[in-house]
Amino acid sequence: MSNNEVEEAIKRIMSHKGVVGLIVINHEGIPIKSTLENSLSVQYAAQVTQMVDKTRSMIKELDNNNDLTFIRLRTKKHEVLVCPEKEYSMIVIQNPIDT
Amino acid sequence: MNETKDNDADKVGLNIFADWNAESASFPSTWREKREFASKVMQTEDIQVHHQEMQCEDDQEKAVQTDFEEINVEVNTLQPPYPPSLFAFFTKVTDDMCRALEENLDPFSVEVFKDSDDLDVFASAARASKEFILRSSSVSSEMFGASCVAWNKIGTQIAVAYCAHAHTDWCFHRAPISSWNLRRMLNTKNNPAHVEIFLPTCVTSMEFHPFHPSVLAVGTYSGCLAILDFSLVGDQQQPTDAKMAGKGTEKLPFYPNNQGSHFGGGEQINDLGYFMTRPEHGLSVTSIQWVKLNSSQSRDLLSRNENPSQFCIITAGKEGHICFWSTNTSNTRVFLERKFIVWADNISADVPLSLSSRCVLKQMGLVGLGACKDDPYTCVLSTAGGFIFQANLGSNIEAYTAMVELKTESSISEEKLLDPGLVYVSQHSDCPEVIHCSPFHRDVFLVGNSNGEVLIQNMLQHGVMFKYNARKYSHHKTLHDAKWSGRPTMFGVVMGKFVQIFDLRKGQTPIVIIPHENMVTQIAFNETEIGTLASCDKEGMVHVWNLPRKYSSIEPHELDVLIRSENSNRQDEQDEDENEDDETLDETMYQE
Repeated sequence: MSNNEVEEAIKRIMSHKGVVGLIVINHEGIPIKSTLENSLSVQYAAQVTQMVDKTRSMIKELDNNNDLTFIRLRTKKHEVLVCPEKEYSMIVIQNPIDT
Repeated sequence: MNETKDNDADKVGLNIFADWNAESASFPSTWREKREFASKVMQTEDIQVHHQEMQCEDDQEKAVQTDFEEINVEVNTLQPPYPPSLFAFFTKVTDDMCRALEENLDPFSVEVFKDSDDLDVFASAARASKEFILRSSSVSSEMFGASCVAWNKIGTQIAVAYCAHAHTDWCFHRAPISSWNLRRMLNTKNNPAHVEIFLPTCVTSMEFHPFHPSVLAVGTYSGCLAILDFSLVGDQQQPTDAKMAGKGTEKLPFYPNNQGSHFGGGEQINDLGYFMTRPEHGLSVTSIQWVKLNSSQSRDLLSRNENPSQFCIITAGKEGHICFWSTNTSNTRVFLERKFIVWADNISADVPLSLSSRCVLKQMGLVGLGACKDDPYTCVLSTAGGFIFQANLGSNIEAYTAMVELKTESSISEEKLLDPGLVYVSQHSDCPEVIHCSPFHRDVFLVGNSNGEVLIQNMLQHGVMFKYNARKYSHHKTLHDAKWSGRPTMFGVVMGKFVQIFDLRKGQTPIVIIPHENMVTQIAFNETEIGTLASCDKEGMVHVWNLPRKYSSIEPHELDVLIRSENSNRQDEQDEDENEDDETLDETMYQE
């Protein structure tokens, strides 16, 4: 994958209907790539990092052989999709589509 | 004083050219002291007072933020060239994220942003209009419920079979198979059957002949196969008492005109309109399918039938046997050509069977069977334990050689049992109640699990193409049936008293919901009239429905959905394989 392909992957995700923003954070919870403004990126990064840690520890407590793979957090206004990996995590915010 | 001055002067005079190093006065200046003292008392300049409790405009209060504070946080945005770990991360998650985003396309408008208790999806889903209600007057709803429903291939005739609500032992019920010709319907309700054929046992599966509109193959509770021909039986508008369904006080012949031959018999179906084989299956027949052979396939598979028809029958029994039957051209005789056994010993060791399956109870019960479109050799099976296998009915490999052991354990047949060459496809967490191959794509099939999950899978690929949860839209928790419709992307699911119709292109919400008064047992789509379907319930009623017009025809490029999804899955699998290689290479390079 080349540098352009990273940008292409981001564009591909952003091209989906209703996608408002994308944030990639590192393992420390610091945003390293974001399509949103800085302050919002930092807020999401901080909150999502805590949520991922808590969720992962919950799953491990219940079953040590299990692990977290994906989070879809549905709210009244939008959905937050989180794909956590070892070194990075991706956060995507998607808004409803008016039909 | 003057003397003091003189003394000082003298001292000075003694060294008039020396610098003035006279000491200052030993006592401090009172004037300066007083001034300083005055400075402390009186404020001459502005003082900045910092209050912890009250926020002033310029203060930064840590406890409460009342005014907008611009946070200058530096986002450490990475610029190219990116580290290899970021490449691997994007490669891994992009497709999953896109898939999750695509799943949300339609449900966002209806389902997601409503309260979970809000069943507005029922209001927003389209409704079907009821065309007919059919009920056999020979059947008591206290004893029997409708178990199967089927349309003939030209869409004019509908048949319903009945099964007793409970069986304690062997089945001796006399149960009818009722048939209606929709072109002769006079009323919308209270339509007695046009033709009824009584069998000496309950029926568990059935399918009409692909070519002859009045010939029906049925599988029974007792493990038999029966061929019925409605055209040979006259109309029965007023059934006699002797032919009422119930316990068998009047014995009906199991094998009418049977001369005792093991491989079927009878030169013609009798006046009762059916022909039945011996029970080749030890338990009830769970699935029955007609398949069409070409001439070379007939030569390969058929050996016992001197005058075979190109149409054959595959039956699957709960005990784990699969039978391959040939018929003659007049559909009056059947011949058992091949018999297979689904046997734990013939399943590869990496399939996670339970220890008891491997060691003790080796036969695996068959729950469902789906014959592959255009390929009579291939079918998919669902077994107890939630396993899905692909089977090859062209296999000639014997299942086992210990024939002596077979005779002692299962004395049904002395014929050799073949190994169907099972290939493991997937395992589901719940029992796969129904399995049905797509009429439009040879490799695609749907599986309906009893917990309400419906999965669309491809025989040649791992993973799931589409996944639906019908349980969300029904108060009942058990799935009874799932079938493909006459459109490539539309299928129906039976959950309790509701029939839900889904479209692969329309997201997770059902496009049509059909409520019933009683628990629904099975549905069948009319292959000719695409927008028509029939449902039967536990009270023995049959309902014929018309879907809204917009769902009643195949739209252009509808099949492309299945093809695109198949290609996407294949690409995902290739990417996964490549990623595994790339990650290994990246790690190696990174370490270097």
